[in-house]
Amino acid sequence: MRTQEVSVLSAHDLKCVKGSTELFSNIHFEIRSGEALVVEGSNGSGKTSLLRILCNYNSPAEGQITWNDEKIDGHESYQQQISYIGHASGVKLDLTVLENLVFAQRLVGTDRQESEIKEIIRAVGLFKQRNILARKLSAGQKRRVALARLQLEERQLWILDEPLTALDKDFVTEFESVLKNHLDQNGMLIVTTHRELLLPEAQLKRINLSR
Amino acid sequence: MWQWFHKLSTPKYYYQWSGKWLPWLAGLTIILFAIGLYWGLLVAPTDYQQGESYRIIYIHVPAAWMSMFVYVVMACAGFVALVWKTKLSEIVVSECAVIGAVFTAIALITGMLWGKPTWGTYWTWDARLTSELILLFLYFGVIAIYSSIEDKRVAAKAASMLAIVGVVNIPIIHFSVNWWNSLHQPNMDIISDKPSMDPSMLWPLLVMAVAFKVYFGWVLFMRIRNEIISRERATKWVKELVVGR
Amino acid sequence: MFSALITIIRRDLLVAFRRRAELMNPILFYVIVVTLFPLGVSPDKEFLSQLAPGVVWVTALLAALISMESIFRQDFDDGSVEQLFLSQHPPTVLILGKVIAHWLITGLPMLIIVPLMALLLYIPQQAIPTLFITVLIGTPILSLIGAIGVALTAGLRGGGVLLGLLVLPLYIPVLIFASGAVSAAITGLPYSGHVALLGAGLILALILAPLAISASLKISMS
Repeated sequence: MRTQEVSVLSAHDLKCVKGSTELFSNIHFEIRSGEALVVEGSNGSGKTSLLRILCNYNSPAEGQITWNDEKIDGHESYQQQISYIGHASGVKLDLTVLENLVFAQRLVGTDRQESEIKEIIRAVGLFKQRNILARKLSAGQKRRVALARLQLEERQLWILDEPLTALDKDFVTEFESVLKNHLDQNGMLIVTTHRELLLPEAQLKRINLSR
Repeated sequence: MWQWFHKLSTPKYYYQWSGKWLPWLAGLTIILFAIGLYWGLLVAPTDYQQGESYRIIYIHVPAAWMSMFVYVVMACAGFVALVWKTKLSEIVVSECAVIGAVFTAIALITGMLWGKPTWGTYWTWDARLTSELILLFLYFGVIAIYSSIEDKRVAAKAASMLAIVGVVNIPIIHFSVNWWNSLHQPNMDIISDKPSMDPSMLWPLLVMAVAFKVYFGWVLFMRIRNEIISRERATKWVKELVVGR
Repeated sequence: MFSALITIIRRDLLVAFRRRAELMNPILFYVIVVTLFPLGVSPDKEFLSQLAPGVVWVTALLAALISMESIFRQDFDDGSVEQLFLSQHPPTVLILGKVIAHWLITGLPMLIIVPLMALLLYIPQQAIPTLFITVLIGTPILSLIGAIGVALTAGLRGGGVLLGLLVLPLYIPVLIFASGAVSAAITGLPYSGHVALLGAGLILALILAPLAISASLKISMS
């Protein structure tokens, strides 16, 4: 699934308007496989809106986004390159950790063995809780379920909205190595975060929305 | 041609373009209404069956035609709004909903007023009246969803979607109501033999129909201009327009 | 693609099973509203059996409407809706699966309760199979159309009442053909025409509604 080919995501002159207020304008960036983009900005500066635009859920008021030189608007296979974790992490509260992951990866279109899934559950430190309803997990644990899903889906472009919220320190370090691994395998990452992510500067690009 | 359409769909250009048309539409509306009403109410002969009361058709029938026509216009604009995401068509959807609902209400009220002398009752579950009532409900739905979503661009898209679903359903609803009516009631022949109308009665009706259409265009243009000004009030050209002159 | 359909149906059924306390609510609502009619109008046998097809179906419309709201509510809250659009499977297939699962939870139980309703409203026995068929074909249409409305109103304040305003007028053809079929069966008239029209409606809804639901969800997400 991990490809060797280099992909390019570029955004040109993006502008986002919510209601009658302009959140941001004049946003340019370009990232290639193996690179990460950290989106910074104060609260309400439109970080989440930008990520949702990049997921093709919303369209920008102005500007263009291209994936390998093709416009993402109406480009169906683009969305099939994405794993997205938003504020709501897509975890079903009435399913167990294991069920959540089994269903999620199947719906997305990958078909992993249960043993592989259990391996990843172990890696995110939820093996003991694998048969517990997600409803009973703490906020940080739910976040971990979502991060496990990320690793199962084998997508090239990870778009993560505050993935570190509620995670404890040790796990953040572990997660950073997962992200680094993803980049090394030609993955791409777009992330918003309040905490500093420890990633090699060479692979890192930054953009600030509240200039 | 395409480019012109594209240009027209930008609010500023539309505002200037429609401004030139307004006086013509207004004038034409007044003239057509004057001719149509005079001809229909005073010149056209009295109906041998219904007497003078039939003259309400010069309002009722054009309004009923418009109620359907505006819905189709609204759904087409909605389709354009969803596919090409142009601001102007979004505004057309929300404005058409209000205008269409008013036409539908006029058709219903005049229909009821006409019903009293003809059938002896204000309301009867005649297929046409029932369809018209359901059409009014459909308009209410579009208006309701438009007004309950705060972000007006999202609201217009949701209203467009509903309008499109509605326009697919209208023929089905129409058919089902006709079917239902034929099971429950004998046909009301008084209305349905419209084609056999005498030309001296038909001509003023056609004039009125055109008058309603032009009036719709006029009101739609004005409402769109209004909405553009209020939506674009933060932009430079609107500020210049309001303050500059 | 078919396996994706099965997967999402299984997931939604499992979620519903975990919340099985809520499963009975639409049915109870249905039974209670039907009970109100004899109390409010008249318990007279002749009169009731004449009124029955309408009562059964108007109530079914309301019950479908009330139960509809839950189809996407949780998905909006927990972010699953967003995931629907990132799948390799077409969103319309997954959405169709969700509607099917929702119908299995809310529509199917209605089939079981309908003969009981027929008893309460003195619907003659020869009409019960017809009633059964109309519920079987009609309620999926209600679910498909209702889901469009829910997709548009999800996340709005006062969504419930608004949903009724949007969806009930669209339910009218189902009401007419379904209650018409039952009335015809009660009086011993042929009813296959009504049922065929309902069937045509179901096919049309199956083809078009998932597209509309998908587009509506996208609008609500923005």
